[in-house]
Amino acid sequence: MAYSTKVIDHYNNPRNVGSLDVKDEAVGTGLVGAPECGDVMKLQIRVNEETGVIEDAKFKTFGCGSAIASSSLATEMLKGKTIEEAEKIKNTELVQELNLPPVKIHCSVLAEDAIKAAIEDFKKKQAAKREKAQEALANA
Amino acid sequence: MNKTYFELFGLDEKLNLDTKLLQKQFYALSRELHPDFHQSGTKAEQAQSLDASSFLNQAFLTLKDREKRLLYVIGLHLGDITEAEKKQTPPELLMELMELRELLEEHKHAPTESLRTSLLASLSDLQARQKTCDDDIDALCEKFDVATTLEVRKSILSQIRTVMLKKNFLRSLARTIDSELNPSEV
Repeated sequence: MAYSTKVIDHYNNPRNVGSLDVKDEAVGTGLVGAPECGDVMKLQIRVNEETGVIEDAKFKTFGCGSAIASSSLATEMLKGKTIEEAEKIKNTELVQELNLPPVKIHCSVLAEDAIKAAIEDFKKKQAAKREKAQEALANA
Repeated sequence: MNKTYFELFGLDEKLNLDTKLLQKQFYALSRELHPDFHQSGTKAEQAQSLDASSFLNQAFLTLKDREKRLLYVIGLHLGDITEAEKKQTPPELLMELMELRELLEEHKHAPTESLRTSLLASLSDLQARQKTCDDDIDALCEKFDVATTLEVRKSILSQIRTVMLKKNFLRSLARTIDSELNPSEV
């Protein structure tokens, strides 16, 4: 079975490969894996804390071509979106854009999970930050 | 055909099976059901014997193999694994996988002796942990076999499933490292 040209393009020229600082409060990190195939995917977003807009997205994926292409495309789609918009990204959009065959749909699901996990991580950090600020205020 | 594989062989549902007994029962039932012995029957009888025979073979092959047997019993009681269950991998394990894959990538582009040494150490560590998973599964199987209530049995099966998933991760990672470090052996 041949990969679509879009998958091959993302595979050969992956966009936004790399890492952001995990400890940065404006960065959300999603780390997901698929036990069946041993794939691991890390997807990170840097969010403008004032506007809620995703300013940067990076990924690192060890897996098949479809998993790499799915996460590469996901980072492209994330940039410029607000957190609310990003939450609505569905794996079906990745499937359509990349023409993934049915046996590779789980790769796009993995990418969707990674997006969700990254957003959740960001929200958790922000909540912790707010709590800390309130505590500091109460103690002041 | 609604019998479980265990019922078919007249065996108690156990994860540790007496495979000799299983084999004996299989031969006995095979003789009974084999299509060759039903050639004189009607078309319907012949078809039935063929179905029963292939069900029997399937049952035997499943129960004979330990891993297949475990998966069968788990499926019997818990159904197919859900997406949510698949995602229960502990984050520390995922982080570790990520770091090892990064190390491996580094080695691929610029192999050094120290990288190789540390990867080999990780490889033997992964293999040792697979062994620990096996031991855990063995212990859980024994617990399952003596458990009396369905509830307890189900909870043990779900624990076994979790350990098997973890072992899958460890195994596929070990394979990846192994094939990178010892390409000729693949």
